[in-house]
Amino acid sequence: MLNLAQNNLILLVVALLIGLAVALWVFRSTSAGRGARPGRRGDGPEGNALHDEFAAATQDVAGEILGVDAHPDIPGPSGPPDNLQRLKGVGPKLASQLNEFGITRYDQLAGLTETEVALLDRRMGAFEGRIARDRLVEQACYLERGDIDGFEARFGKLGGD
Amino acid sequence: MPKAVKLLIGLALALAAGWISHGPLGRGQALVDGLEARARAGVAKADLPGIAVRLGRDPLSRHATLSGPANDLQREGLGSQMGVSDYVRAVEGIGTVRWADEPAPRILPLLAETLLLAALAYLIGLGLGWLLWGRRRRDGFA
Repeated sequence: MLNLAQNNLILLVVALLIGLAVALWVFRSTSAGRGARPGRRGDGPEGNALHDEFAAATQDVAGEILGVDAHPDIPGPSGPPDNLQRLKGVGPKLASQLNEFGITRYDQLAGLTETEVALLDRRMGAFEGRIARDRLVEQACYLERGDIDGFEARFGKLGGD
Repeated sequence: MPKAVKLLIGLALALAAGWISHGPLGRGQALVDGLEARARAGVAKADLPGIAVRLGRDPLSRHATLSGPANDLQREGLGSQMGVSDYVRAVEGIGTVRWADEPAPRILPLLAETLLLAALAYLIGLGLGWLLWGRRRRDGFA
């Protein structure tokens, strides 16, 4: 068998490379799909590329090591505030807390990266975990695009203004 | 496209590469020719006139068939004394050895061996690819 392998060394390399290429094709596309958020438009204000996630994670770790309170850099509102209480699971208190962190519009919420959500979540006090649990980012993605039908199909009837 | 279809396309490509290497590129023929020449050299060491050896040609295989006048002792040897069969078996790369007047064993054609090898290399490539890109990574903040 070893003799056969030696005789077909080029074939072995070619078949190995085919295997690697197929693995790249299969697994990379799978992992890309796994990380995608449904209903989300393109990149947020900070972008969602790997280097942005890495930069945010670095900020978080550095903050812990240096003993300072690392927090997400949320861009200011780009227009008049939205009624955040239209989001399922958001009442006056949670909306008020989000406002305190500078989040007043759907597009700000929709643009949060996963790392930013995690950083923000740590500062939410009694509402810790609610952003993820109530899928606020996903909800905001629909509302900032004005996709009411998509929102209602996924989360139920939208509350009044 | 479903994942299974992608994997099967890759396997088909690897098998096609194996077939091309074996047939059109002549690697199979070259291997058998080389093994046969070395088997003849092995037979010559036994110093028995009239003994011939040939490898499978239709289909190509690593199976050697011996023919010619030789008694059992000359064929298989005794103790530390090697027989003709032993000299041929000692050739690296030879699969099985038999005499022409013995019943033919089931043999695996060289093409099948080559395709198995190609499939194995493909699976190893897939495995390496899975290690590189397929493992589920845990989110750092989860």
